[in-house]
Amino acid sequence: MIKFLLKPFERYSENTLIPIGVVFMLIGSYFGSVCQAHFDGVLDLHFSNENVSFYTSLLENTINIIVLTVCLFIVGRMVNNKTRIVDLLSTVLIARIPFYFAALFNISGTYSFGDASDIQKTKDFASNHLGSLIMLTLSIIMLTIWMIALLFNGYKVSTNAKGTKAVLLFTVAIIVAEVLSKISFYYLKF
Amino acid sequence: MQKLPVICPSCESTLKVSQLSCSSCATTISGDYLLPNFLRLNTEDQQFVLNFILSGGSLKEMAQKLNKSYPTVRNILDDIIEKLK
Repeated sequence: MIKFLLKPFERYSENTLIPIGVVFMLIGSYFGSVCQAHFDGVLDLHFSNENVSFYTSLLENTINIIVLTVCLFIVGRMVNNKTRIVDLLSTVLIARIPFYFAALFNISGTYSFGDASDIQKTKDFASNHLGSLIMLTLSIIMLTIWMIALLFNGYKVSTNAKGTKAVLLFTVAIIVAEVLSKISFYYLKF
Repeated sequence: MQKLPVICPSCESTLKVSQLSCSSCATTISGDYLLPNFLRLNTEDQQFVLNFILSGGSLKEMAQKLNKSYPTVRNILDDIIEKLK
């Protein structure tokens, strides 16, 4: 079971993983729209006090998937020139599944309380919802770790990566993808 | 069938063939022969290479047979190629 949850890439090929990943991307985008959640970065999830349309959420997820796939593919080719982009696309599609569920923490709109730069309002909110904020933080950290573990395991299988260089390149790819996705969202005015 | 030892249990060097015998007439040949590269692979890798040849060199067919993904099977083959180099 743990192998299925963390290392599905060893057993399942792209023919299985891509359709599953696409279905969950659509479900995740739906979660984003009903829970007013923006996936505005490869590793980002922000709850908004404005409505988020399904198409906005879908576009955000699509940009994140494309940016992350391309960055991992570039470093993957540095590690192993037999790396196929389709394997990294399935890795990214599957790895993001846990992250979509993080949006559900705001299903009741609890965390869409307004402008986070309003310090007093944020302080009041934090003191009134301390327990749930701790739970939210821990849960999102767990889901993010799960996503990164899936990404790394998929990257390892796709590239046959071994050693420190492969780990360093993976880390660089994630950081570059995060920066590029933030720049993309900035220019797209999300 | 017994597993062919390829590594010396005493010093961990690669073993050589020093004697071959015919089971039908009991003729024995002594000498100093290197083990072929293929026989230096472990049993699992040898079986993989054999299955790979029998499946016509198709990694997709191998992936289906072994119930593993295509990149996993390709990685096993790449690791064997590295061992044979």
